[in-house]
Amino acid sequence: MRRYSRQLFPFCALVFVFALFSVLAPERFLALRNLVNILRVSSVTGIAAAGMTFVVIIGGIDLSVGAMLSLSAMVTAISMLLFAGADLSMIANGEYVSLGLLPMLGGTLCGIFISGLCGFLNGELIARLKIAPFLATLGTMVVFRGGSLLLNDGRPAMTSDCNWLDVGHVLGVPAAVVVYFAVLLAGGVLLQYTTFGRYVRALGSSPRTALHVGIDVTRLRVLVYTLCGVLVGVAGLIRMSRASGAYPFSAGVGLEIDVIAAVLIGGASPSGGRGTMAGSLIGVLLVGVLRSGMTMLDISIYWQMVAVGVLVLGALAADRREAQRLNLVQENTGS
Amino acid sequence: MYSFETEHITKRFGAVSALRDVSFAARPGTVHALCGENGAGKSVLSKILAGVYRPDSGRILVQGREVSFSAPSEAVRAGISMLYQESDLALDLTVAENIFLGAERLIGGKFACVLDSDRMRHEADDMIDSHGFILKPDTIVAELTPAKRQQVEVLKALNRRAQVLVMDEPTASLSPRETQELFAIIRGLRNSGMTVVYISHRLDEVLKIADEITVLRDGVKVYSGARSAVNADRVVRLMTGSAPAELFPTRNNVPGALFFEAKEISDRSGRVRRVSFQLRRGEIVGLAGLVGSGRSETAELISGVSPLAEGAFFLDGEKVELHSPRCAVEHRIALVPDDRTFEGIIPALSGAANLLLPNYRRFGMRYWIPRRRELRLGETFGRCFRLEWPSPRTAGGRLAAGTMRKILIGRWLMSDIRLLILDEPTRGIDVESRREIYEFMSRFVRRGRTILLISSNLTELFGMSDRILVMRNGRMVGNVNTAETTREEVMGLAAVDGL
Repeated sequence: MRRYSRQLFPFCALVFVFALFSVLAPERFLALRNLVNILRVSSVTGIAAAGMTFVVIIGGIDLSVGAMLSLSAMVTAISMLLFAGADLSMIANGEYVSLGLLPMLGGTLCGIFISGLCGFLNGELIARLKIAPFLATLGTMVVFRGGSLLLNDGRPAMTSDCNWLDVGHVLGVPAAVVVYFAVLLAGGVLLQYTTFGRYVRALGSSPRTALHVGIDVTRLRVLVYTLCGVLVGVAGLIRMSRASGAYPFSAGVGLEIDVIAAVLIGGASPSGGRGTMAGSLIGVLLVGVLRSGMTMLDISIYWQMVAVGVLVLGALAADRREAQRLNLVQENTGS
Repeated sequence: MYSFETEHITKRFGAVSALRDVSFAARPGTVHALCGENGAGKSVLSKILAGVYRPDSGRILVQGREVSFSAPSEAVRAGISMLYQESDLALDLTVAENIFLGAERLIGGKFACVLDSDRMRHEADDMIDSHGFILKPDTIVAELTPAKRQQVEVLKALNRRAQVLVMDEPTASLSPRETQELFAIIRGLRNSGMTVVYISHRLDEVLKIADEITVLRDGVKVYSGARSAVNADRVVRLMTGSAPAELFPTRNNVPGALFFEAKEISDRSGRVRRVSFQLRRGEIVGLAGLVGSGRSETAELISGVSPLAEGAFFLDGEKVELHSPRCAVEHRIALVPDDRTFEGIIPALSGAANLLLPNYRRFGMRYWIPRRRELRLGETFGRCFRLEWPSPRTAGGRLAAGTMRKILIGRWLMSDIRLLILDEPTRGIDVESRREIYEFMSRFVRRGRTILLISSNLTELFGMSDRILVMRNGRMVGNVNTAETTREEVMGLAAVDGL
């Protein structure tokens, strides 16, 4: 039981928030359609959060996920259109292009490749050039956003045919949710049953030890950021399907906040070493339920921002208290 | 009347008990030395006195009144100032600004907030003069030598009306001449009625400056009394403790062929200078020296933790590059660093995972870790190393100190490493675990593998090593056969500055 104690509090918070909205808006909030919708909407945040969980476990952070999502969605959309035989002026004018299966697959691979490359770049900046993760990804965030705007001169790239991930179902479950759960499962297995996961936890918990036992920590860091990038690419694909195209101005704006919030709420420690897939799922659902419930109650989107921010700060404070309890912070530094 | 007393102080860090029931007190107008080997608890005790740590139990009295510090600033207000090993000055501010930092002189009345810079400069100048220091109040501290910075720290403490000055290894970065000057300053402070708590493992200095001596060993006070009542031998014995002979296994191995050589290696910081030595198969080589002599830095060079500035390593006669710990591990060289707080144990991973951490590939788990096999291996090796854990599944952070230490070393003993460097391998653990670790070490070298043993504990070095290398000030100054030498000779080589 002790193993799950880190998730106990956020889980209770989730149950509480869920119950609260069920009471306040029983007809609309509790409708099955809405519940499935929360999961569906949360899958974009959730898939990126799965990647971010790895990043946070190694003691890093990635602020560029929102911009990266936008860039990868743009690359996906444009390469799908190009593979389908459209020319650049058609893409620029947003003309309808019918997409076959092969162009869609090709575009998907291109998009995921690009976001993997973006993650790789983050990793190299952080692991090899030793730039602090917060600052490195702050820089790449702007680069990626700029890049995604450049691709079609600020205009969206429309892919109305590619919407299966949004509307499709597998055995009655929305496809996006299926992808999300597959990612969670794979992430969990990776974290628990492979040397990669073991080394990731070791690196986050004690970088010096990871180095001393002969783990290639530079490569491991790069791999983790690349993995995060790849998952952001998958999330971007779902985002693109939902919007029937990639919108470089709005796609993924503020996503990093929701993703980081979800991971931290789920009990991952910003000082590294701790974090689980189950925890980040709870975090994602808490953010999702909160946003959905507040929307149902006609609470302004601005208040939602405030609420998510407060949640993040609460999670951070809880983490510090936990660290103090474990005697990890020993010195009375002045306060 | 004592200027301060500590009564029955106990402090633990996780599984490590740093101080056990330590009481000690000092009178005004004395220099009270705190001696002990590394990890004996000197620094922890002084930090408790300075308000950096809070004791788990016990009392602190200042001028007879009980106090409880929740921050260093409260200790300062009570008249206890500490000079840390690492300077505590704001490097970009001037001497005068540092002396008055947090205690600025202001123009105007009660609600004033304008700095009276002239006054501070003059007062600083007066203080400098009255102590006979050669300093200018307007010099930026970053431009000063370590010795001068120390003088600024002393003035800063005096300006805060310090009654007790705690100095932690104050001579670590001083030349012999500067050390003499510091001693003159310390004597001046003592004669003016101050209490100076002097912490050092440099025995010759301690004996020269102290009026009173308190010796700690493994977190316990073993002696407190007048300097005149003890001599160097007695203090060394108190610090190291005379361990029973059966602590060490009898070894009658014959070292094999030469296989590792370091030729004229230096590091980039100048803490290791042109060091050469050779290691044979199947031998345990001790590496003695004071802290700061370059022992640990040498270990870091061999294990690829820090880069070589010059020199080279040879394995079986062939030159090898050891750029990273990973590289060293591939050449089957590993380091267990000096690790008082068991940072090497990953608290969230299971005991079995901690033990297997560098060995997954060796046991056929290159990518995939089947839970069963991991647990089974944990059980097998747990028995082999006599680990006292509830189960291999128990989280590393919840294990006992002795078990953690055995895992830190055991993870390499079970690997295919052939040169293992152990830096203070038995620090802070119980005697039984220590005895077992010695036994494992001797079993390890019996199979033709080599251990380089770094230790401040002379008993340990003499009990385990076939020969002992001695370092001082970054240089290799001795290479003696254990059977043909004495503690005094080794201590002499390590401590006496031959400049």
